[in-house]
Amino acid sequence: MSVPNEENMSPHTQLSSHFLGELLDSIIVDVASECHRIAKLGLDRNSEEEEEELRLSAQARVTVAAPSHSCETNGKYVVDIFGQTHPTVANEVFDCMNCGRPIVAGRFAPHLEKCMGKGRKARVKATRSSTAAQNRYSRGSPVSAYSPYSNSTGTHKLSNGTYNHTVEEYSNGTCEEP
Amino acid sequence: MILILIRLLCLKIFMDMPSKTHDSVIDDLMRRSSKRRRLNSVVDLDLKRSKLLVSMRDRRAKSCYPLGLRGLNNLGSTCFMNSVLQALLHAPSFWNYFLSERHGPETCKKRSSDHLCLACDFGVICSAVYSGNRTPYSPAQFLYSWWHHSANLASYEQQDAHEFFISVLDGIHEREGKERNSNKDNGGCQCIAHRVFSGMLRSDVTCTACGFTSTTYDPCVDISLNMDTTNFSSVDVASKSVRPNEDTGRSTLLACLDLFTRPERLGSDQKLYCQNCQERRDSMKQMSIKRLPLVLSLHIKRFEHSSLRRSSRKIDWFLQFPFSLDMTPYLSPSIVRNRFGNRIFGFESDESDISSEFEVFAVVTHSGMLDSGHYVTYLRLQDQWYKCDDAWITEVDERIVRAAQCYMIFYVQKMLYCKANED
Repeated sequence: MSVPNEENMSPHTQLSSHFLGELLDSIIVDVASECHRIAKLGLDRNSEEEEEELRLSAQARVTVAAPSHSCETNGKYVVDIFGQTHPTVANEVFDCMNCGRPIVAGRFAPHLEKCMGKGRKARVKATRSSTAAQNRYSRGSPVSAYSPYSNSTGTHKLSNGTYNHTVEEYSNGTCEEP
Repeated sequence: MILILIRLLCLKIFMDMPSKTHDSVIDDLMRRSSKRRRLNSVVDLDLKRSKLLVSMRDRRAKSCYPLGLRGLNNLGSTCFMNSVLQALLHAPSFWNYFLSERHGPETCKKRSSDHLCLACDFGVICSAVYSGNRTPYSPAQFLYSWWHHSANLASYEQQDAHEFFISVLDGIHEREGKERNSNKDNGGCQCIAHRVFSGMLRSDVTCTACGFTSTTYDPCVDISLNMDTTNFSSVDVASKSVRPNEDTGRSTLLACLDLFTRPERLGSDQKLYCQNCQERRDSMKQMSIKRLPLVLSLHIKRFEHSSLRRSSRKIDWFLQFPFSLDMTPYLSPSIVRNRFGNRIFGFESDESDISSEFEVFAVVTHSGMLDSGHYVTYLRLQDQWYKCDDAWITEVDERIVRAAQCYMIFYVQKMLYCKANED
């Protein structure tokens, strides 16, 4: 795009051409100064390390995917680094802390479930877990369901009302009005 | 808009200029100032004490391998527990605390009526794992205590490792917190779980009408990250297993962190009250990290639960993650500064004594389907990677870890990592 010949332009076109030039200049200066700032402050100094990590990662995937690579076999039939082998179902025997009977380690969890009356046979409670899962799976909700801090710090500026709900959630029947 | 395109073009031109042409003095200064940051002195004491205890223990068995490596028996679909335990047992300054017996039967008041204490039980596992005995250990007492603590999660079913992790830290906090928080003015809970894992997130909500921004802070023990699904068609996403175009550059951990800290336009059903406008307005929200923890736990949200379809699915994509991670671009000063074209604000200089360089030390991976998968943990000890698959501990090449499907990644501050690996 060649620079328009100024004598042949009407004052109107000249003016708009001038404005466009000014706008372009200010954009270029804005971007240039920001890039210069980033470079001078060293804000982008990790790009080499990042590229190295990406390269190593890509290389690793190629190596692991290669058919000649002796990839990790099913861990259950392998000798561990201490030279030990283990059965698929752990065969250590110990006493259940609920009923006192000796139980095989590999079957301890299903035994304990029945022993404690929990799990599928127990009645389904309105769980903290399901509301917690909802909170956690909504983006931008960093509050862990188990956080005890929701209503304590002085740095809160409760201007948007989003954090009020947490007070109710953690009350155990003795709810104080914030 | 043509102007926006021009701006982008300029940005590309300037960013592609070699950075080496810039002044190296600034680089030097920044590196030097980070070395002056000191560690928490209590952490130092624990490290020294636990190292002494570890060196005094019986080393008769297989002494060429680091102590602390010991398989955990699967008690029946408990790999979710074993995998997280392995990570916790090797979290620097966390395991040292328990091994130094700072929380032990003498100090613990066993506050619950059934005399169960997750912290005590964890201490027992710690001692067992660092004892030098290499026979796989059965964390049965811990499972029992945990089921009492998290009654709603107690069932013989595959559980989610991340939920377990949060639940365990909560359990340890409950036991420890009351004893340690006698003086509230030291800013935040002083229990070992929070001292090691807790950081602070900052949330900025900006009114799109007037630009007024309100800021809130929330502590967190981990960060859950979404994977960027935007560049896949809805047809792909609907199918059970999605095979993405691997060259998109989106499936990296840094991309997830970018997504986490990206300004998000809140929907019109989520209008928030603006103090300035005195009414509910459309808003933008942006997250950033105000304070980093000693141990940074990142959780990749691979399990999607759809309340509409009452179904869940697992996102199987590979996610690249670095071994060395610099969190600087995700800290609040960087995010806020970037919002204003990187012009510096004097009042934003919030130099905490925690550096932002991290090294990975544990990766919990999940393989298989949603309901019938298997968790395995990879541990990095003295620059060697070990695979902890329930009772089986094996050495693996780092490339296996790089290519693995990560679910939870545990990073520790670089200085702490170097200290922990000193012998």
